[in-house]
Amino acid sequence: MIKTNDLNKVYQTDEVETTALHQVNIEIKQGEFVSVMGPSGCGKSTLLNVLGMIDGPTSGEYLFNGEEIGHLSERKRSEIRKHNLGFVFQSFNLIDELTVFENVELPMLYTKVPSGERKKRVEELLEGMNIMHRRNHFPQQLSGGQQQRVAVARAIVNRPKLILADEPTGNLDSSNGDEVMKILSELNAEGTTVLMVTHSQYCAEFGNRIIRMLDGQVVTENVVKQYL
Amino acid sequence: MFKNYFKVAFRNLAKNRFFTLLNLLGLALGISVSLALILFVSDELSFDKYHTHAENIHRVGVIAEYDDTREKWATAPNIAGPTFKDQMPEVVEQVRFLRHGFGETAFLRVGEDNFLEPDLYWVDSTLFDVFDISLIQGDPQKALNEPNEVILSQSAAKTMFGEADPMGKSLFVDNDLELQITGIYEDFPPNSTLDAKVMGSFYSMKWATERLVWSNCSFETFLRLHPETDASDLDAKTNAILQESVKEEDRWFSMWTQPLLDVHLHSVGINDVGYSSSLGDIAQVRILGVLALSILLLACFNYINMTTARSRQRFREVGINKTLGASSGQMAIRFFLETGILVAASFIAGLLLLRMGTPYFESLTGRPLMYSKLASLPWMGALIGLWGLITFGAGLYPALMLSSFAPKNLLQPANKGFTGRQFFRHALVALQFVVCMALIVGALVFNRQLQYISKKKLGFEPEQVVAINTFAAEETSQIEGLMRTYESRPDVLSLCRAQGYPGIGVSGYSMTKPGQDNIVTEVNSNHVTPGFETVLGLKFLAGTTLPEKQPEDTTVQVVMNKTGVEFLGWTPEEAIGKSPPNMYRDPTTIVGVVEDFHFESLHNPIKTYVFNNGNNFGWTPYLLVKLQAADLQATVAGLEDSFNGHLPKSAFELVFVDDHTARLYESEQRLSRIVWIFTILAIIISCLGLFGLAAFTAERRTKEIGIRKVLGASTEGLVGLLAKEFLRPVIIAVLIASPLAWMGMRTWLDNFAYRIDLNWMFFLIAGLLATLIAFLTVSFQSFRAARANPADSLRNE
Repeated sequence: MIKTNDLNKVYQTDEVETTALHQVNIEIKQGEFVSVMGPSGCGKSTLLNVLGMIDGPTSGEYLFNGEEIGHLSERKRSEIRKHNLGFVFQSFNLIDELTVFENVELPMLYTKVPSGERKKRVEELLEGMNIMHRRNHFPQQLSGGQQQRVAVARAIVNRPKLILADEPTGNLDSSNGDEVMKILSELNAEGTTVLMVTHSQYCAEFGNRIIRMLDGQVVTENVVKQYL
Repeated sequence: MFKNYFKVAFRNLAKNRFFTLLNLLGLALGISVSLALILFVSDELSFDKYHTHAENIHRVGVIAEYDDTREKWATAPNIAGPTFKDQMPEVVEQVRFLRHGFGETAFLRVGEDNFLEPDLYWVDSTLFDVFDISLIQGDPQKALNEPNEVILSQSAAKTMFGEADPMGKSLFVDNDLELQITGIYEDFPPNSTLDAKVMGSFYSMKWATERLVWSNCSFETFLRLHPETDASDLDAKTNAILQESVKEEDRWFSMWTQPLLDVHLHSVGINDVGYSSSLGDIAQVRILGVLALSILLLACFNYINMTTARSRQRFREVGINKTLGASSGQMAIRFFLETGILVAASFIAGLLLLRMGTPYFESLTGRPLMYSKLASLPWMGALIGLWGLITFGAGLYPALMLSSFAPKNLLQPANKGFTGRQFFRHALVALQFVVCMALIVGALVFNRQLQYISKKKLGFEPEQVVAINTFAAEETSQIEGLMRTYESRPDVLSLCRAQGYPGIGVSGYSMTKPGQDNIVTEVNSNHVTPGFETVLGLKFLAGTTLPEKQPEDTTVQVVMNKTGVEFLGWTPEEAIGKSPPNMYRDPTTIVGVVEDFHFESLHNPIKTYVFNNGNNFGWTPYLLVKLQAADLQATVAGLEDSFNGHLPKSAFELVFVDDHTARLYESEQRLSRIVWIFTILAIIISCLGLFGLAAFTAERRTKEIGIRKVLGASTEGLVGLLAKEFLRPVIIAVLIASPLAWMGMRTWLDNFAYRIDLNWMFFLIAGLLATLIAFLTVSFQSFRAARANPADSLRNE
């Protein structure tokens, strides 16, 4: 599903040039659950941005489903992104002005899903996440765990092929964290590919494979479970 | 999708109530003031357009040339109209207006009732073929066809006859001429240059009808041309006819024409400005237009500033939406929608404010504000257009700036390029204060100049001098009797009869320098009786006042002002007993010289003025009375009683000369008041924006303030630190605005022959005022932030 060849990302400011990714070569197959670990500043989030098509690489190749997309325009990347990817962030990134229902519904507005279908899908997901009773609440009225469940629901509502999660349990206590990891595992079990950045060894082990990064480079890759 | 946009926009506006309210207030104020001015300006621009032939009607005037001056007059000879109609095939019709008594108030009598009518005209019967005048009663083909016929406006008819039918009834003018009422016409609309309340047939003025001459240019004349006529050579054609008709040595003027649609706004500076009492000024309309635009821009700047200041909060939202698949265009539409909703709410609030402020605005401009026009379809369309324009203007930058946020920054929320945006906001604050500063300077200078005018020594004493019109007296003996009665009153100091008084026109003559017949100057000649010097409080430099006149005396004695004597090259003493060359036909002797006095507004330099006693200048319609009254109201009532006793068939008209002099500056006083109001509004709007920005800055720097306080910073130090950020653009604005305001005020003051000096104090005061206002606005927020408990602010972070 994902393949990178010598992927580089360099941030250039007036005074300094920072290499965030250096010659990264990874491959992720459909149905995998891959965790990315490494110390702060090692390039984990940059890798997630590039693979999530919200930032382009400076050089190198990025193949998504066999198509080179690393150097496509923002508009084309956005088009591929909204139909194929779902995002879960550490800080949830829900829109404060929208209710739980509206937040989950939002991605479908951009993919032009008909209204009846949108309602059906949102309700199914909220039921599944056990937050249906909170559908008309605003994000600030929810606990952290509930907010992250909403964020996950929003990430999968368009039925993406790949979920990118950036420290999804970073702001949660252990029981809520477990809850989220359980949902991600279930989604993976249903066939969705998951790429997750985390600091937590515990969470990382929910994946099939752990990629470790240091100074913008992939240093090791460990298989945690046998990929089925 | 749009439903979602609306929802988010509304919730965003509601969530940020403070900023929404500031923006709403600023925009509503800007919109209400701009709408008022747009209505006013559109009304000014609509003058006379209601006439069917408006575009083909042209006024004929003359350009008088003498000495080194060239004066445009709005009036023409009585022969001009008929001649042009005969000789120019493109002229369909002509109509002449003669103002009764050359501008004197007419005394009208209906039965036993007397009325004063300043707007009586003698008009050709062709009136109805040129202008759209709708007769409610009477036949336009016949109404003014015969001598001694008159038509009344609906309101004049109601005043004079109440509910009775005036048709066929009699009306006496100045106790002399009996006219028969042959028509009633609808009152002219407020946007009409024609303002006649009563129109008599031109044939009633025998002298004007029968003796057609090129030498008397007292007739306002309009030509109606064929629609396909090219009017660009109208001046050339009328001048060609003039040259054929008048010998070169008798031709002291040339002809000029002016489209009817230009008359209202383009007649400033035209001498004897025609007959309308409702003339506008295109310069004032332009100033008001620019001010309206400036106020609206100030309000838009506020919105741009406050919206972009909160960009950090909004970036997150944009980032999430874009990550979920929104395009930049979709995000821009969303922000435009938010602006549109706020502008629409501001329109509603602005219209309410306008409704409440209408009476005030009307008293300010002296004209009705056509508020009801806003409900018409074209105006509704225009309002929607204006809504779109403001939404676009105020929303463009925030929409583009916020929607350009790349989603990649969402995961690294440190915003780059922040300084650049702050610079942009400060530039807008500076621009706002450039406008404020320029307006403050303008208001100060206007005020100072008007104070200077009101306090300047006029060279005569107009206080407690009244002018009483005796134009309609049937016998001179009536006036003499009235004068005797007045003289016996203890509250009357002195009195005289006069042709005019300072502030109104008198007769125009000319004289030449001794021995140099080619050097001519204009002379203002006022026929008076002795005693005028005491009434007006004039100061003699040499000689004496006018002697009592004997009927057989054919010489004319004059008292001349200093400027006249200086033109002649004499000292006041030398002038006594001498004769000013080429002035009157009768032999003339200077018997006295008085100090100069301002008989016109201070716009004009003092010219030659003489008081004469010639027996051939017998017209003295005014009784000038100097009062010494403790109870002015009682004195005036006493004067009226005596007047009614001696002149029972005249209406009592009394003018205080000092009031009349003050009215010469009415237009300036009005402009000054408007500028004051605008200055205050501009300051309020700018300060609303500054207040919002300061609140935002205080919020943004909460952590910094907390740390500084922990490290020992004082409250005053912190207030200074925060205020400094905003004072810099204000000070830059002061520097930019000063030369601009200087140029603008220089131009305005050039309109006055007597004016104040434009010194640096105005700019210093305005600069300090602008800075102080800005400082106080910012300090409120800064002080609040600086006083906050650092433990709280650090915890908040």
